Amino acid sequence: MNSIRQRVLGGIFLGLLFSLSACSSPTQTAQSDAILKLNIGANPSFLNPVLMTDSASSSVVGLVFDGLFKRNEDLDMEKELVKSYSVSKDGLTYTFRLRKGVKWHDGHPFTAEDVNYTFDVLLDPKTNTVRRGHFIINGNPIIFKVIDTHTIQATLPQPFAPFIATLDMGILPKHLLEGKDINTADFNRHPIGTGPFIFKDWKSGQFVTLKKNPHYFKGAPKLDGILMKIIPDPNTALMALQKNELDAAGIPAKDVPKIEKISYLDIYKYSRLNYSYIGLNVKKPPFDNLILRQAIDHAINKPAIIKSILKGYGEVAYIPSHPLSWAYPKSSDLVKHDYNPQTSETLIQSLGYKRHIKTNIYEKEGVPLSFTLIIAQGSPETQKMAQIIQQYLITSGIKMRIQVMEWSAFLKVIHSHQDPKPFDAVLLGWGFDITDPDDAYTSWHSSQYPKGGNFNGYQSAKADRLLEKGRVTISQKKRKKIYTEFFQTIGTDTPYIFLFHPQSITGIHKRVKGLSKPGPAGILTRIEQVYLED
Amino acid sequence: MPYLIKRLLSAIPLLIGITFISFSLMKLAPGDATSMYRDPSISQADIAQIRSNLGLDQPLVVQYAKWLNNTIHGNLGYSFVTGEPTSKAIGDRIGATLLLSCASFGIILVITFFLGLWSGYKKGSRFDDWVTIITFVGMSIPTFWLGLILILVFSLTLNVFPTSGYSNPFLSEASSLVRLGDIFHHMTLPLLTIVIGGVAGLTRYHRFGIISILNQDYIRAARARGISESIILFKHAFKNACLPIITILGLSLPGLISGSFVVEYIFAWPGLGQLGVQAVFARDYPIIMGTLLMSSVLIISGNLLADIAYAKIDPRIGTLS
Repeated sequence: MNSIRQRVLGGIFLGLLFSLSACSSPTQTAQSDAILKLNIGANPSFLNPVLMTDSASSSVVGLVFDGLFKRNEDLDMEKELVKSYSVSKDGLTYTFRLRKGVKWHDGHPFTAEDVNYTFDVLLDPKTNTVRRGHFIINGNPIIFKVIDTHTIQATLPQPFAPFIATLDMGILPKHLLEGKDINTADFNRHPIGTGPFIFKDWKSGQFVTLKKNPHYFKGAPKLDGILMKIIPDPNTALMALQKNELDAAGIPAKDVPKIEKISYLDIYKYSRLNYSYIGLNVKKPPFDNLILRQAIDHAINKPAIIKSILKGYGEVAYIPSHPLSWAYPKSSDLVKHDYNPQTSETLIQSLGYKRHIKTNIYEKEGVPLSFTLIIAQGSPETQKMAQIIQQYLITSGIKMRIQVMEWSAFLKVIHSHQDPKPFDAVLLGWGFDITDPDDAYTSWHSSQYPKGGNFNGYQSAKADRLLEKGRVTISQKKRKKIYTEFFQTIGTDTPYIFLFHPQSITGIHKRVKGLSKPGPAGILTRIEQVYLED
Repeated sequence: MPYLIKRLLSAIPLLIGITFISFSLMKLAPGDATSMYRDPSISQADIAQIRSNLGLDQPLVVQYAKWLNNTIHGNLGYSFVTGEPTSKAIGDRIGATLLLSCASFGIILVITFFLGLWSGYKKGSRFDDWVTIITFVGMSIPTFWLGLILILVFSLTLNVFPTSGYSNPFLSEASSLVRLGDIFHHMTLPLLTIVIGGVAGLTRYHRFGIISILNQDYIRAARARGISESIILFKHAFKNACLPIITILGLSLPGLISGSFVVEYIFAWPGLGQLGVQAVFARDYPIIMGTLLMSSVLIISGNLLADIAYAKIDPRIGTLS
């Protein structure tokens, strides 16, 4: 009996196998609609501009919602839901006149009440948002007030130059969210905005689909819809691009030569607004010594690292800003510590260090010149980079140990509240776009140490003064001067070894037209103008 | 029956123990959901506020008691990362996971059973040698590499299967039969990846089981009595060869729902493996506890079922308990 049952069971499974192969004929239906197929790489968290913290969500949210302003391809703030605005003479009161006739995707009219509601939610302590801090200046919140249905006023506690730069956050519909717990609302998975695309469907871990908003205030998009697939593995995504399952995908630097040969794909390279660096703990030896920090900076060949790690797709970084930012100083104003092992050794010797006869490592009073670099687990590139840096330092007589840590353990060390923090040096990439030079405030102002974004303990009265002045000065010309001086201070004090600004590389099908100028935000920033050629 | 009730009742303190220990271990790991916000422009006040909103600033025992109380009342909480109810987050993924894991498990069992039986029976033959070579090769191939090669060959070069995903979004309005076929079409490559690795491992196991059974005295006695080989194999040896399979079945039950992270990651398969691993990295406690609770229930019931099946097949075990 058992054997019969087993055979029947086996037959069923074999039948399943056959049915699987029978189904293997391509089932793709002909699509007459113009659907752009993109990859967002990860399951989004919140499709809500106030709550989201990840790039997958922000890719979707950027198409469904509109902000008061939008950052364009030249990094300028362009008016979006705002039609015009004026600033009072003291720089404290902003009056925004909103566009009329804009409608939410459910047909409800958009008014100043929605803007007011969005900032109310944002400032409500019960909301789990990481953006509240942008709207609180020295402990005092920015106050929003509805003047009439299409005018809203913001009153700042003190002049704050980066204010407009924070207003690209999407606006939420009051009529759908009022009285609900925003942290758990179903709205976060079925968003309704005013943007060029209407949310259609989200299958967890599979895809998000959007359809065009025919009533979009800047004119209906040329595409019928967008399919945002969730393919986490970049290798799979690359094959999906070659197979037409995706219209665009990120290309790892090593695969560029292979993709360049494919006739139906175009490759675009554009700068990312971030930088990689070694953060030195300036609160404890050995890096409490300025000369030694500069010596290390001279010992590392950054162009060579760009060539090997990024295959040349990047540029050398000198300061915590980006050449595309308006605040970036002209080249002659930059403090550069170019690769020069000789200078490095001279500096080390000037501190009284001597090479040990056997180990060939510099030492002083019997203590060798050595330190530990901590890196986060997960990226083979980071690990490789650490090893290259290790090689440069050992030839200059400096011993560097590499310690790989799990991400949370790593963050716990650099965010610990003790002084000095328990690390020597850390290798990191700043993964966030630089939107305004005031971003430097949280990383470099004395008040942000040991609790805050200033994790390496840099404290300079001069830098503090410049940062404080930079955020209350409204004129961009004056600000540029202030920040140039600030960046020179950082360059001279060398609390970080700045390594490079990486580039993004995107492969896109030739049939996708209407692309914007390649910039840090990509090539699809004017999504309503993108279309597919037959 | 009283035995079954006793076993079920004893599972309750066991479950509480497992979840409490897991909860404490999870809390011992450095960081929490808010430590993932690494942007230095996020103010410390915002992070402190979120921690207090999520109840992360309370003592461990209080947090566990709250979780336990909510769970008993059928509320597994909301994900820290997406704000979605835990039950829905798991519910969205469980179908895809079960489909892939049950199908691969069934196929692996059938293939390995017959391969193991035959190569064990024909020990030392050319067939056995080939099976041994192929299974060793299969065991040595890393899953991620195999997956990518399968995509490269069957999807990119031969163009018979899609590279990844679970279903074709353009078919959402098609008939359910077409949609089912579409899911099978997407499932073939990940299924193949799991089956190749799984068959290789288990065949070795079954082969050894059969060899040791066929060396038993009662098989020799049966042969001496002139009983036909097929009856010896399928009637006498079969029952005993089933025992290790039952053990594997019992042990594999939790594995069926936990999914395979590597395969899901490569093929963009929306399963629980990806959800669970991402939850661990993001310290998304409600999701971690939800998946843990589910696998603990399955481990306990898997063991229970295996014990019951043992007793049914081998009467000696039944009388012992």
